[in-house]
Amino acid sequence: MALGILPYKTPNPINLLTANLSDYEGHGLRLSAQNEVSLATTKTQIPYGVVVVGASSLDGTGVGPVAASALEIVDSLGSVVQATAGTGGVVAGALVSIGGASHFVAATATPGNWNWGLALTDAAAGEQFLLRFYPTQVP
Amino acid sequence: MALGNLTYKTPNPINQIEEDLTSKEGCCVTLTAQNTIGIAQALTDIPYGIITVGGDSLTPGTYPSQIAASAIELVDSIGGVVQALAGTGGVSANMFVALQAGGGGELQDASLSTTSGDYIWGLALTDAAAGEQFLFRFQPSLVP
Repeated sequence: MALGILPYKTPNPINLLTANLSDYEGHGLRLSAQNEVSLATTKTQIPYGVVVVGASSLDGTGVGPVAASALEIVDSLGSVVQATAGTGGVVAGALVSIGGASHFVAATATPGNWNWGLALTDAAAGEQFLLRFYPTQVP
Repeated sequence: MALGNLTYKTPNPINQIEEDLTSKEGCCVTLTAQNTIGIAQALTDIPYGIITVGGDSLTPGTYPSQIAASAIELVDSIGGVVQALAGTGGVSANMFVALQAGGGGELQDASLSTTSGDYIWGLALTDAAAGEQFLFRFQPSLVP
């Protein structure tokens, strides 16, 4: 009996980067153009996914095409993923939003901001926590 | 070929409860701390899941306290369809539902009590009178 989540292959290929995502596991991404992701750094940017395995571009500059399967992302709504906490850390049971360095921080109820999902575990700044990825915009 | 939903095992273990969840099947829970759930009672409580198999802790009467492995089952997957318990007034299919204020985790028509900042828990898929169970799609959202 299969008890784990089966591998999911996104139907939306990502093959372009705007920055080197090496060592950015657990950071938030936005869709900056067709087939292209960028680090999310402001709370009004629309959430796209969370980096699971970071990578740089083929030419090593971090900008441009990325090798096939080099970059892994969770982009499916409701998925649970390891995310990285930013300043102040996060607490289980609280909503989180994106911080200025694409880490996750405690959400604020400012209209227009995006909540990225629910923290399932506690984490201090720089540590990883379990995140249920389920973006909602603050009304 | 498997066409139905496969069994899903949450990656977030729950091993403590805030109260006795015996006979709470179909009621709503919120994540009160890491690995800990309690019955959602306030309309602003953040939705975590719905109980499918209730139970008590290893030390009844003392809460929060640890539960036995697999003693309690719940649906926490976004979009999951689950049997939920209708509160006062019942529910109708195709109705968004929220917590019944002051209740024990039951759901009712969201338009009856919610205001901005409260949570809608999801969509009723079948009709139910008060105290009955109904099919429910777990789909949390904030009330504008």
